[in-house]
Amino acid sequence: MLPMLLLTLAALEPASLKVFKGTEGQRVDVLAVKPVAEGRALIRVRASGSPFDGLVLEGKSKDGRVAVTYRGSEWTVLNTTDGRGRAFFPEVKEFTVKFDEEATGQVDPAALIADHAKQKASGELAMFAKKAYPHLTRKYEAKASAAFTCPGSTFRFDWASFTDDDMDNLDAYALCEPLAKAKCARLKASKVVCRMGPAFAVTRADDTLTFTTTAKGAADGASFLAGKL
Amino acid sequence: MHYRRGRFVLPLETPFTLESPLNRLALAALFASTLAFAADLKPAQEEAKAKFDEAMEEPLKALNEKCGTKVTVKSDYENYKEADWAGRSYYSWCEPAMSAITQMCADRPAYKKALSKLSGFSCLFTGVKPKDKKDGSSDFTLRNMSYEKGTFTFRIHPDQANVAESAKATVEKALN
Repeated sequence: MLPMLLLTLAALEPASLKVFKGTEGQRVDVLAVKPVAEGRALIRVRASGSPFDGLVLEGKSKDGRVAVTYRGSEWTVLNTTDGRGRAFFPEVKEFTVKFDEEATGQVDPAALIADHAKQKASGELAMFAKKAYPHLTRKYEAKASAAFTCPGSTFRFDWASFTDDDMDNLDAYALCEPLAKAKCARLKASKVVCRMGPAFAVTRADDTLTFTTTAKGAADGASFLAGKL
Repeated sequence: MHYRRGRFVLPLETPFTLESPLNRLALAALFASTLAFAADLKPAQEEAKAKFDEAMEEPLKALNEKCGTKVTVKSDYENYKEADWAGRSYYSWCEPAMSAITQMCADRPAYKKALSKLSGFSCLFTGVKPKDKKDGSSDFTLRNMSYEKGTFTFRIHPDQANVAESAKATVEKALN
């Protein structure tokens, strides 16, 4: 994870920062990153009551308008002219904002970039950007729950690792089924996780066993696991 | 294959046991059709169907209450293409059309009487009659709506506008 973090940190270089304050204490930090011509920006909202407070999202900025990808679609989160405007974060009422010079001086751009890199690595940002699949995730989790019968252990999907394309076209449960149906004695972990990746893998950390499945998981996952567990 | 909203109901007077060959046959047929249905849909289409069912539940209930009908909703999820509707809720095209018909029943007893023969409501992704350069704001929508033999059909496309007004106009034209 560290090399990935460093790579992300190296990729983003701050250009200019602006902090906007809302009338009810909300704060919106906007950091334009180089090269400025590309219009890339990091944006963070705090104290808005949104479940996404604290996330440092990456978006596109142009003429005072910042848009991010939310649930698979473009979503304008900030629209300002001459330092004043409105913020529109998901699941919270829109609010008026005004540029605040003093608050701008108190934010460390490097810390903002570091938070963004951490959230990117943890999958928090992917879950914000990805489309929602309430029916499919419920269905797959129910199937896994029925198939996974190891006492004292829990099974979960790492949904952040499944792209929208994976979810649209593949049966995530079928890809993870070899793990859900693996013999309990071989798992030797209290937490069992199935994630999607480019190649089959099994990792153990603390008391967690993680199986990285692929698009061929339904056909080849069981034989791979048989050799690894 | 089309999905039909409905329930598989066994008469209460008839105890359901697997000892009956007919019941075994019926159960096998039910599972076979369910499996075939599931196999036909890609995950994205299955998710779209679930969202559609949930979104249409209340409007359908209102329609059947106001019009005194037992309408079933039909769509062709196997033709749903995620890319065509990215960022859009395709049921937002169907729901206003259904609500417009519900409103007609609520507003005029004569419409309610005439629409009591409504038995089907289809929102389809295929067979969309194309847009024309000379189209006014509602023409593309109107061209893809029909009310025939008790079934309202709407072939939907993201570029259609004025859905509710067009649905009302389509039904009024058919009734008058």
